[in-house]
Amino acid sequence: MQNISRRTFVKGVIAAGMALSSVNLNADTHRIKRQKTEELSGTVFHLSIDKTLVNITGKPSYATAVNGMLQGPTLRWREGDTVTLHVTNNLDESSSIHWHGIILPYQMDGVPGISYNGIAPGETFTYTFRVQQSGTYWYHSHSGFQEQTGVYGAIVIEPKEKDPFAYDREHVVVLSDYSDEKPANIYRKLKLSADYYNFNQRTLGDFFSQVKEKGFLEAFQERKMWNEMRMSDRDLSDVTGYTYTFLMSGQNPATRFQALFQNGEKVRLRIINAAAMTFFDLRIPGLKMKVVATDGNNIQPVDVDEFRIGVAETYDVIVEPEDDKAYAIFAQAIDRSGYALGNLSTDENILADVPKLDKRQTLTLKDMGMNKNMSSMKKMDMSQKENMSSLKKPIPLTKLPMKWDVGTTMRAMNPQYRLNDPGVGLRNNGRKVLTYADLRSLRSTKDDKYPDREIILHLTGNMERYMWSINGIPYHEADPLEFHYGERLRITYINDTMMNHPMHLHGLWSDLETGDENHLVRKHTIISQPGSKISFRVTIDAKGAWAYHCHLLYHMTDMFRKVVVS
Amino acid sequence: MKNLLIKLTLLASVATASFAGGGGDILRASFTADSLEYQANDEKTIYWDTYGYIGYDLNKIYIYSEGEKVDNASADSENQLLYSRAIAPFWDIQAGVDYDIAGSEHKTWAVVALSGLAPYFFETRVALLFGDNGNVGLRIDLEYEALITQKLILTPKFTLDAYSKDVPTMEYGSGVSNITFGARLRYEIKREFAPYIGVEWSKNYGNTGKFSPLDEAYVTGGIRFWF
Ligand SMILES: [Cu+2]
Repeated sequence: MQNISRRTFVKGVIAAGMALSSVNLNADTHRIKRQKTEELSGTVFHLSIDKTLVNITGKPSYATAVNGMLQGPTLRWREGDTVTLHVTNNLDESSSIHWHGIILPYQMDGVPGISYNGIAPGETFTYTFRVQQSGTYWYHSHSGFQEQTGVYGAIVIEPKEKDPFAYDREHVVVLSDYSDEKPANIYRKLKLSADYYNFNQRTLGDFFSQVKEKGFLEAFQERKMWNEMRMSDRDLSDVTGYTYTFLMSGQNPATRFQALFQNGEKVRLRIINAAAMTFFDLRIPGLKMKVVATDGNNIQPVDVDEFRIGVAETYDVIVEPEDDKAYAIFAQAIDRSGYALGNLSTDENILADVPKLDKRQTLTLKDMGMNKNMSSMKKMDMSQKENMSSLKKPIPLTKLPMKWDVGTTMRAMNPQYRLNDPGVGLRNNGRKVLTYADLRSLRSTKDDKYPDREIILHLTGNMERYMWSINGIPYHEADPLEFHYGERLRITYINDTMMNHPMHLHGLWSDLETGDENHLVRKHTIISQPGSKISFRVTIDAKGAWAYHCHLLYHMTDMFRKVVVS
Repeated sequence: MKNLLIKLTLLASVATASFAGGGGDILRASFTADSLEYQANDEKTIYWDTYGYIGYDLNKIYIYSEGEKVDNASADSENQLLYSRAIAPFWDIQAGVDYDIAGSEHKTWAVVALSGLAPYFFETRVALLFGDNGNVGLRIDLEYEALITQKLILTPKFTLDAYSKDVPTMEYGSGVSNITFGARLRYEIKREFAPYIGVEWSKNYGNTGKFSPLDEAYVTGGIRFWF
């Protein structure tokens, strides 16, 4: 475990001293060198997507980056403004930019094949729309695997009315994962051998120590179900620190992202998970974080020590660092194969101590949706949570096609609502960890329309063959989902896989049922935990064709649906 | 064989390039030399056990080749070309032809096989062969991967061959003809490249034992690689 973090560190150190000349600089056009990430503001923006020379790991490689920046420029908009964005594609393949979480006309959403044709090589596409919201968002390419190679950046939208919390300074903290391997190669390897990047698998030694502890029979019984199902309880991330270097605002752990403040200041951190495949667990040892917003929407503030941020989610936190101290902004990958690191201090020469990675945890029966006895775990919360699964009045269920077939290896037999479960690796770690049950919107949702109908979406897959799907049906075989303009829909996910899926519905807000009917929290990306169940409501208030998918890049091609609102 | 490798590599690069605009079910080609080894037995054998495929998630074309060459003799091998289709989450059904070579003789079979991952993580392949004169063959392969560390992997392996009739020219006899137990210990320098050492015990039974007596244990060493 420490080996990997050391390797990441070393990779970063070499990066500074390596000459770039070893990369072959001949041949085709449109290649620029990496620029430092800047903030752009106003109402008219010029963005270009270029092949860009970068050195993240000690080896020069080509990224695809916006305005030469990896991460792309931070765009600062104002609520109420109409923004115009001219995006030029200088790559030799089609490209696109999608404004993640932004409510806009579907033609401006930027998903090739759904809302437009994408941006052809050499072409410029002009997006224009009125900004109707405020908060922290981001943008990324929706073409091929370009997001993995660098096409992403932050969006900050100033509110019309001041936010209901005070701060003196802010920093945008973008988490991502970078690899020198070509994404298509990563994907091919996963297809050939789904555990290619997992170097935390069960060993004989694990089994023998279990035998020693519990006796052979019990140890065998414990492994029995996993063995019969041909599944691994060590399957936390498909792609790991073996190939990824984890970045914070474009910096690797060795070069360290610097977030400066002045004595006495309250600092707002706008944290965005722009990674292709990595969930992060973020904490700032020595500091409480006051979570004030998620996915751009203000919530009732919650003080926490740590939170898990799924791919594509955002959290805004306010911290009050003490004078002249340095703090580590420490975001470990969910499988503990590495971390992204930032330095929060008054002086960039004062470096915080780097915390040790937590011990790796294994998935439990609960994560398989197999636990029949949830109450023994969390008796207290159960009574409160139980009523959430049952609505006040029943609503009709619209049945969708379902296929339990070669593409599905597992089925959660007893999926539960697990809003108060921080998830594998964060349970009972002695820290106050944010859960979805802690999220309460600032605005009242008491008078929101009661749902008209419900649909259930099973998140499904076959890890052995690296196939992903919704309701057992991959995107290319699926009919679009039909939502009716004006209705309010309840959507329930049942996750029949062993992975967290960050599900993202474009163009419409998802009001997450967190247990408090009066304060449903508004999100654009919802994590569905392995073997669990979760529900949210959507007011269908935007006509057009929208994308709906898992935001893990290598799941996205198949765990995807087109939504048609008419 | 060399031509085949080149072809497979070319197809692999085409597959990756074509993905950008496509879906998640990519065309891919892959070749695996599960074993390529020297066996320190009486006959000083070079042994190989390889397969390659090209295809999609559910439909693939497979080529299997297993064989051995002893000192100063031509190689004996069993080669199969099959269409493979997924029929269950962990199982593929395969159908095609088998071409066996023994010395200067050769024989063709029709093949139906079931291949996949059995509960408890046993890599399993059961092939039924149908030859002329109503001869039926059965070849079973079972393999298990036990991780000692993340890179040091012990692979016990069991194979059984059986036939319904004698084919003296090919040195098969009716009944169980051969059973082999082996275990190989490999170190994955990379996932794709691992040297190994192993031990194996192999015995011919029944009429096969008469045509070609064999009962020996030996040490092996070789490399496993794939791309
Ligand atoms: Cu997913």
